[in-house]
Amino acid sequence: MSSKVIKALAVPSALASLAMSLAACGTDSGNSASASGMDCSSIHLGYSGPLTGPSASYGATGLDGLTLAVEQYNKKNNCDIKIDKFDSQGDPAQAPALAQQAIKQKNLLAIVGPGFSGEVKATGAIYEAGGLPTVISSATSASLSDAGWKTFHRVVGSDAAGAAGEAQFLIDTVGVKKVAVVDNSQEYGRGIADGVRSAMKKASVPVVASESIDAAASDYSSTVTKIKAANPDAVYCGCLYAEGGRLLKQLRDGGVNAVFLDSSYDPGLISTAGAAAAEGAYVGEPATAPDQTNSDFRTAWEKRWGKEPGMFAAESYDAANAILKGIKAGNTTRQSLNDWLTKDADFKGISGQIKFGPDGNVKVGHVTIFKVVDGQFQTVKTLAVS
Amino acid sequence: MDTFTRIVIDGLAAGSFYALVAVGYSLAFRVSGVINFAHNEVIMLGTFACLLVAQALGVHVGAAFGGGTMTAVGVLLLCAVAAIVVGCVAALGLDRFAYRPLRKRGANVITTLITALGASLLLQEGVAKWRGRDLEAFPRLISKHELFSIGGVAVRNDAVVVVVSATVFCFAINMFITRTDFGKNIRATAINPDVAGLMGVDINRVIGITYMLAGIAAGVAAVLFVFYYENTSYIMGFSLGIKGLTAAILGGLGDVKGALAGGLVLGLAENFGASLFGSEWKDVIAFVVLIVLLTVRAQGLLGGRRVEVRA
Repeated sequence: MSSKVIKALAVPSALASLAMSLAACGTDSGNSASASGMDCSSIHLGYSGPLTGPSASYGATGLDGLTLAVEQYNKKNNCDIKIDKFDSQGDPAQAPALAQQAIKQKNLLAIVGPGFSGEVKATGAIYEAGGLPTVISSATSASLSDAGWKTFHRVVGSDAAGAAGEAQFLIDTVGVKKVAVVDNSQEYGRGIADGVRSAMKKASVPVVASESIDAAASDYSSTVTKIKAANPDAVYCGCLYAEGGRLLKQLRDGGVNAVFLDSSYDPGLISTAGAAAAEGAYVGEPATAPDQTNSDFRTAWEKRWGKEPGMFAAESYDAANAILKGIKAGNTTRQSLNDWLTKDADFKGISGQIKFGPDGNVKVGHVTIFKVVDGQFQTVKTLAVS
Repeated sequence: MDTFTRIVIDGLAAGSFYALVAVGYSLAFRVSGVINFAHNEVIMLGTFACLLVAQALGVHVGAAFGGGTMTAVGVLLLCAVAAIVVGCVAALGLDRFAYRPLRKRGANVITTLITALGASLLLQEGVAKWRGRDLEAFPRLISKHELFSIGGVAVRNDAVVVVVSATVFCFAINMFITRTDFGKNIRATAINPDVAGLMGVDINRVIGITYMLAGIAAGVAAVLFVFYYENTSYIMGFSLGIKGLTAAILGGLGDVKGALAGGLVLGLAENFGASLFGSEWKDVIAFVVLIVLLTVRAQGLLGGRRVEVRA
């Protein structure tokens, strides 16, 4: 094509795009996104995560958040955005096929999810290749943003933010002068415990005992003996509930009464440790406390789902709204929506300010600390970590 | 010094479990030449039997146990009976349906080994399907407290129960094998099953009853496990079983007293290793001890009478 022809075509097409974007911006209600790319009513958004299987409750929360946000948007904007479900059962082995299916579906504009870190790892490159934007609401592994996938956005804080917040809590609120840090030798536990170790080092709080336990073992007596001899003010465990609960029980039975903070918000911790040993223990979760979110949001959630919003509910609602705000701004192609999310998304969500850094992580993450009181988790506080 | 004593006490408690598992491995190997990997799962089934009995008796996790010490001991004894019955049935079932048909056909050792692994996985996954993969807590029936102290280091009641029970049980099984007529049959079968058969010993019966003894050992290990660690899951036998098999080899596979010695040595070695180098080195230390010992003494700590591997 000659340069003259290109110039001749460029002027009218530029005018046309200008008209389209004006049309998109100008209408507050009505079929706002119909001016460019796809008609608003032919848009589909997807949720990918565990909808059946042992972790289905995580997926249910993610899907509920997306559904609530889309229903509110459709009603307000006289639109009919539809939701597609991609049930991975939380299994990284099943997620890639679903991602392939998703990227081939032309009317699918963005995905909330995948739900778990393993799935994100297994599918990040596929979504990037298909140019399909993903906004993650519950996968927290710090290393997920390392690959630099352009379609990766995460509204929930990473484990790195979690570790920083948990260390901050131990230092500022508990006032520890020396700590013991234990990890479960696995990716999740070790990563978060290493984060706490380096935060402690930065704050010049000595780590007097540092242990890596075998998550499958039953007997942690050697770790208990070491911690007892080191006499720390607090024991941090980068663990899942099973080994965290067993360690907590054995620490208390072994006469170690130091403050205990575990990285796993799971009631299994209390039943494994036993209510007596678990009493007073803390757990941290890199998310906003559901009971401390905006009351309008909680009311809307309870009205729609008949139950209180659970962990990651606010994050899934925010992830969906990030996408919907992009659509509202006239971005109805995958490419433009992804660019908008990366560069322009900046709004006050339920879980906090939603603005993504260059690595795709939310700029200010949150970590909530819970305390076991009478055998139940009670919210202590939510800390913002940037 | 305090830390040293603490490590010895904890090492003996952990080692007692390894010893009980090792006894099960040793008994099965002695009469049938099988490394019965599914023995781990027999113990696991025993722990679930304990859990179900406790639940059936209305003792639940979370609710404080209202009964006195005697009631608690009664509940634990009932759990023990259930675990032993389940252990015997499971062990006998394994021999009857998995190993005996292979014996009859003169299957080689690899086939038997693979069958044992298969049986182990079948039981694991079966229980995972039935109960789920989460850890299940066992209620605390007796409060854990200091019974006496050694050089200022507290020795808890539960550790004493575990070490004493395991030791007494191992000696009792050893006496049964060395002092009774039936024990003589076991020993005869162990030395040469064909000749023992010609002498009128019912080999299948001897092997079956020996597997039952291994099942009893599994039941005892199971009840002590839920009493001491207060939890179980479908996979609990895996880690414990590997250590138990190591202890059995360490002590001299086939020897009951050796199994006890192997278990206790392994428990101590692990805990001292973890204390010196950190918990992440625990398993490395345990297996280095095993390799070094076998290099110096191939028949294991106490194994001496027979070292040949039966085909």
